[in-house]
Amino acid sequence: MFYLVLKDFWIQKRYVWFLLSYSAFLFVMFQDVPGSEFFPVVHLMGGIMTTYLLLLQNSVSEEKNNTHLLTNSLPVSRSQVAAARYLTAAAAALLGFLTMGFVGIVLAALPFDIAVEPFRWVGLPAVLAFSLVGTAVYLPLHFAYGYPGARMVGILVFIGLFLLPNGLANMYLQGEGGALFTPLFQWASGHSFWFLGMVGLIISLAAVGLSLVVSWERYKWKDLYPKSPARTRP
Amino acid sequence: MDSVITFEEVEKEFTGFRLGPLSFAVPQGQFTVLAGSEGAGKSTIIRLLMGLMYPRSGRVTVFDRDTAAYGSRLRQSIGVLFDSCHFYEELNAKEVRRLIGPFYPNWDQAVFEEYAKQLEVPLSKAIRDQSETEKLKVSLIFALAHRPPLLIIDEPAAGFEETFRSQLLAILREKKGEDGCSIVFASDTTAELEEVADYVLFLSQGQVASSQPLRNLLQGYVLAAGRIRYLHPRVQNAFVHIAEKDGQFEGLIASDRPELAELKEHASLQEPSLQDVLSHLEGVE
Repeated sequence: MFYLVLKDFWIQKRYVWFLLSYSAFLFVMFQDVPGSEFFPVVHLMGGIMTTYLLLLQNSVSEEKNNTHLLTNSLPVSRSQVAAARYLTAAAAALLGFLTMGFVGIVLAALPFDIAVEPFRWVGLPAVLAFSLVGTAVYLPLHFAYGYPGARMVGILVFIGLFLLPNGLANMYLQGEGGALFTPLFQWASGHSFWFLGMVGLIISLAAVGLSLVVSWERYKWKDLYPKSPARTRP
Repeated sequence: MDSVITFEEVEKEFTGFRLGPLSFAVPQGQFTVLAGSEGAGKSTIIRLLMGLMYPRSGRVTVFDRDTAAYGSRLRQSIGVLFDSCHFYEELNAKEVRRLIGPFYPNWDQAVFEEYAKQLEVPLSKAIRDQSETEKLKVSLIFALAHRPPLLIIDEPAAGFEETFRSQLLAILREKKGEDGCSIVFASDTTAELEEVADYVLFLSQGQVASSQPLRNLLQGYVLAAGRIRYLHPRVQNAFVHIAEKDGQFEGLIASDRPELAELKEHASLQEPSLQDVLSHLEGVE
């Protein structure tokens, strides 16, 4: 299982520079200036987008090279292949969060006039929770229908999750939660961020558990064959 | 004789294609040619063996174990060369080795390097920059490096490049001789395979048309050629298949047919090659 996860990261190694520059871009774009709404949740957004980009790139790469045939010809079970992708998503969320922290520290140390939100571990459960909810929706579709069938839902879900933390923060700050969120905000205001993050993480893990069962069921007996014709070179 | 692979009443259906019901056994420690034209079902059989597909009904076993239940464990004992390369094209063979090697407890780095050297595989070149033959060479060394007791080769419809095919057959001959490896070689083109094959499994339109040792198959038929006008219709009907062109015929007839004595007077008779037998059997279907 470890090597399946390692594989997912290794094939994306050339995106390291993209990840670093994307993290810096988020800090610059959403720095603490009057009117900026994104600043308080920028670490969270970085983690969510890293998860999405890694899952997306893996799906694209798999589709292009028909590597699902390679992976499933290895001495691993289909359930291990599916579970590994969930672990990859969790690891990607962690990586994205830590990368944001690292880039934030570097930017803060540089003589630029960029206000950087300090790195706080308290954001980790929330990053994992949001990223895993997106993963829980995306991966069953990926395992059932492949990248083409899951692509659009993946885009919509992860963009929604990308914008959700800021939307919730704004609603909370402006006291505009409506019938749905006001009771939630009232309940949340009485608890620490750690507690709220852990509750979110537990809910997302339950969603992942359910999602994993669906993925296993859909993937277990799926016929695997080349999706795209082999590209030849003279 | 022990079997390395068995299919018991296996059926599989796709849009416009139906495989089976198939029942056959592939003998252990032998070189088996899985023959048949494109679309006969060879690649589907390989995917069923590898657990990439599951039969609608029936049972597939490898080393006496059901592939549906023991698929992942069985794949430790199988080396496969698919008809095209399925590695991540962004990586080179060394990187792929780092990712794939640990999955196999029997991975032998020395074997990997030895075959890479023998086949002149550019290990540091990205897969996407390699020619189709180089990609297949990379796939082959990965199939061999964990010393599997069962090797499965799926030749592309266009065939392997000639030099690579010879190298491959030399390696397979060596594997069979030294390691007692069981080999299944799926191909449309049986030229050269006759020299190394022990057993032939011939598929036609998703069905087993013939399954027997190569020697029995070749001895079971005679290839006859001559002028068609000397051929009595009664004798003509005795042929398994007959092809006619410009007043000449070439046909395959079972070696136990009484008409052979009569045929000797008007036609040249010879032992057919594997290619002769299969192309005529294909013509029957």
